[in-house]
Amino acid sequence: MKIISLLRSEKALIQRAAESDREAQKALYDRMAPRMLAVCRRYVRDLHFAEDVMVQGFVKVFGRLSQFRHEGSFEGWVRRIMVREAIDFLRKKQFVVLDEPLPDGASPDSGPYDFLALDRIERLIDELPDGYRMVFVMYAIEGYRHAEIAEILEISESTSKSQLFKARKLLQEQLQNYQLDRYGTH
Amino acid sequence: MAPTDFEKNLRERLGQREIRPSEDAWGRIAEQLAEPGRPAVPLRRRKIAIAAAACLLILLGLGFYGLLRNPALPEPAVVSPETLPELEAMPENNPFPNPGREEVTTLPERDQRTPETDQRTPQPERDAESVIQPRKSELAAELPVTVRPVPQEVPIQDTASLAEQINSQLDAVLAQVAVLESRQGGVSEAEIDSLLWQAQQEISGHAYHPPRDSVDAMALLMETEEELDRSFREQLFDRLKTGFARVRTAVATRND
Repeated sequence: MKIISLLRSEKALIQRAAESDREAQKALYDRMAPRMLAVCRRYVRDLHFAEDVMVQGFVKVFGRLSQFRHEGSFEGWVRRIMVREAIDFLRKKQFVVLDEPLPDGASPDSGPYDFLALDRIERLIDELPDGYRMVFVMYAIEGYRHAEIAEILEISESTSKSQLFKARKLLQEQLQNYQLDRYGTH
Repeated sequence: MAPTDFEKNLRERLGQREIRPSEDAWGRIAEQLAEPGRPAVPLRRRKIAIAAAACLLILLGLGFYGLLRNPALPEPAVVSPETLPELEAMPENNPFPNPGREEVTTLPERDQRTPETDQRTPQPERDAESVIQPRKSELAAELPVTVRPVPQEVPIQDTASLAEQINSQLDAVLAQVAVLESRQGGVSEAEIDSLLWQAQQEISGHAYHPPRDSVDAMALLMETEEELDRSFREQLFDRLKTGFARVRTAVATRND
């Protein structure tokens, strides 16, 4: 009962925001901005730039609210707009995704880094090259499939897979080096 | 290449991650939303405003269309100040006033005709009546059926002067006969007939002739009366001729 009323209130809020009701737009912004800024931050290293991306993303969200059909998750719809806005920002920064073939027999290897703190993992992800990081974040964290990543980044599906493989390998090496530096052992 | 356990764990942990934006972030969004290209009024109000504007435009269009179609409403017409007194001074000469569009189209013709009239009769200091009279005559020539000359005064004048003309012509004939008799010692019947015919022509030359370009009852009546007068004159001259011959016979008998 409480969930139904919450959904109804969210739908009414979205409808009012679509009619350019500034208070409804502010309410939606307050509700979703922290998570959306975290999404943008995963793609854009600099927090200020990430906030710029989030601002532009919310402007597009409120401009396209009338196109939202209430058929899926509103947060997922907003999150996709934020991801595309972040990719557009990085494209303007001329990031390059190298089209490299996937090595034969390559398989992901989950190393012993599950215990690491979240901040440290984020820092390791930030240290990945742009192309690696984007594919890794989109696939591993946002849940995009390779076909979708290939379409959004305008690359081939095999390139998306190779970038993910290399991102995992590089991340694993960094974690091993981190553990070696900190604990003196693998 | 399925997600690893690490990535699944990472997704769960990072998916709940939140970073609080700066205080001015919403202000920047609201500023961009309030730009001229982005209307700040609600969509519902915009729809109502658009519908009201459309209705207003339709009403204005219908009103303008009706204004064009309605001939009873006056239209702004540019009238020359020289022609305006003439048109206002003789409303009875225009039996079919039409304030509609046809009059507007005929206005330039009248405006063009007025300077020609002024050129034909260059009288710069004419009063209103002197301006109206030639205009009336022009309209009478243009409208022969509706504007007719008054024929009643002419036959009265002719009837009054007819007797005087007959008397004067008879006096003239008698004087010429007397002169011929004094010169030639006598006057033949052919000479008397010639003198009477000339007198008759002189009298008939002053008679009233109605205009031939119109059919008028009064004109027909006048023609009939003229024919009757002619027969009366012929009888009169016949009598005079008979009387003159009798006088001449009596004079000749006395001289014998």
